[in-house]
Amino acid sequence: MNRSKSSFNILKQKKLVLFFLAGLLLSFIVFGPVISKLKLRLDTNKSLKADQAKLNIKLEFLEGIDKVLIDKRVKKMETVFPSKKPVVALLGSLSQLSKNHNLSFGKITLRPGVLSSESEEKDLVGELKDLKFGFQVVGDFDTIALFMKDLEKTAPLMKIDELDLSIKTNTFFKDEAIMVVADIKVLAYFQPPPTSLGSVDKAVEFLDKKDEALLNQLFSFKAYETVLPMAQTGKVDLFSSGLQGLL
Amino acid sequence: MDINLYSKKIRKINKKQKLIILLTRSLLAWLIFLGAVMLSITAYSLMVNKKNLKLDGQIKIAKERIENLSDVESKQVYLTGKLKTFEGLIKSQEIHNAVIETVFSLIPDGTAINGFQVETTGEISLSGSVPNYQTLNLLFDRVQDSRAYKLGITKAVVNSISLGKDGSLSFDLTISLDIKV
Repeated sequence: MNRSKSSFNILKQKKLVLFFLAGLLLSFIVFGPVISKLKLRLDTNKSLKADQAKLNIKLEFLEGIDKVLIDKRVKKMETVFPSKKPVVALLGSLSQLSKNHNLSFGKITLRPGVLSSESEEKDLVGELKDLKFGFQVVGDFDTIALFMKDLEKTAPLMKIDELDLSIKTNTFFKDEAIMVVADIKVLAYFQPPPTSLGSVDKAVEFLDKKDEALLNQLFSFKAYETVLPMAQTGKVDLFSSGLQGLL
Repeated sequence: MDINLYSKKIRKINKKQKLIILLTRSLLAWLIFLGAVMLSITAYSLMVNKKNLKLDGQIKIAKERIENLSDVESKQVYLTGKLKTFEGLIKSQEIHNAVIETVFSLIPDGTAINGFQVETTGEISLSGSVPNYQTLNLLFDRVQDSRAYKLGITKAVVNSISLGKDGSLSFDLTISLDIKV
């Protein structure tokens, strides 16, 4: 009788131990993965919320941009501060500006170098480059001074680097200065634009008040149309229908 | 009269059994509690997963809308990228122009200047020639009266003056300009 009681007790104690072990098993084997999965999902949720907030800010900003205004600004920026060597634009602007001031324009020295090279373009992305350009204007002193003043507000953006003034005197009266010859060396700048936008979630930089003021300053630059000579060259088909009528 | 000789032992056994029952019930309750916690965690985890799937969908839509606006974005990137450099260029251009304007205000009509380099440091080496003494005198007067010019002259040194065969006077000046633009 006593033996059966003691065995019952042992069984009961074993049952307790079994319960205890089952609890532990449930805690470590089942709870572990469930909690780690929950943690992972919560972390994902946090990063997704952050991504969504970032994308929403970007989207809101991009949708708020005035497309007409940004187009205008990009065009003006490209005229004032171009992405490629502004060889033709520079020549056109300077010749037009000197014409406006009734100055004779000539003796151009320009070494544009390589105009297009894939390897150079890759190296140049986002880097500021300059193009040195020399020319001569002839006129009276005050007009040259005015020309130089206007040069600072002419597109493409240039900086006067070197200046040489010489006087052309009257051959009969040597003391009488008739013309001033200004040899001017200017630096024109260009900067190739970035080739890629980066990832979609990359934030777009906002324009602050200082940037807006700079962009407004951009519009104070005067741009001259590049006048290209138009002349018919090569052979002319005399039997073409348009010409037959005239003949 | 009955004398219970096992009363003490029975009480001890009873106490032990009660304790075992209590422990068993507590363990059962604990297991039930753990099960309930696990169920709630699983339900919460599933709910978070559902939210994640929804967020993922919304992100995909937002990305598509941003990609549709890539033209505007590229223009914005272009402008911000160029503006940083443009700002520096404008500042240095302002200094250059102020230097040029000052030098032009200094030199009298009829003065020839030999290739002067526009330096943003403010130190200008000015050499050239004037047709006569009056013009040279006017140039020196202007150098001494710096208040009327865009940039003030902090120092002016006459390095040399020489008389040419044709009667013209050659000069060599070093002028320090007060660069504050």
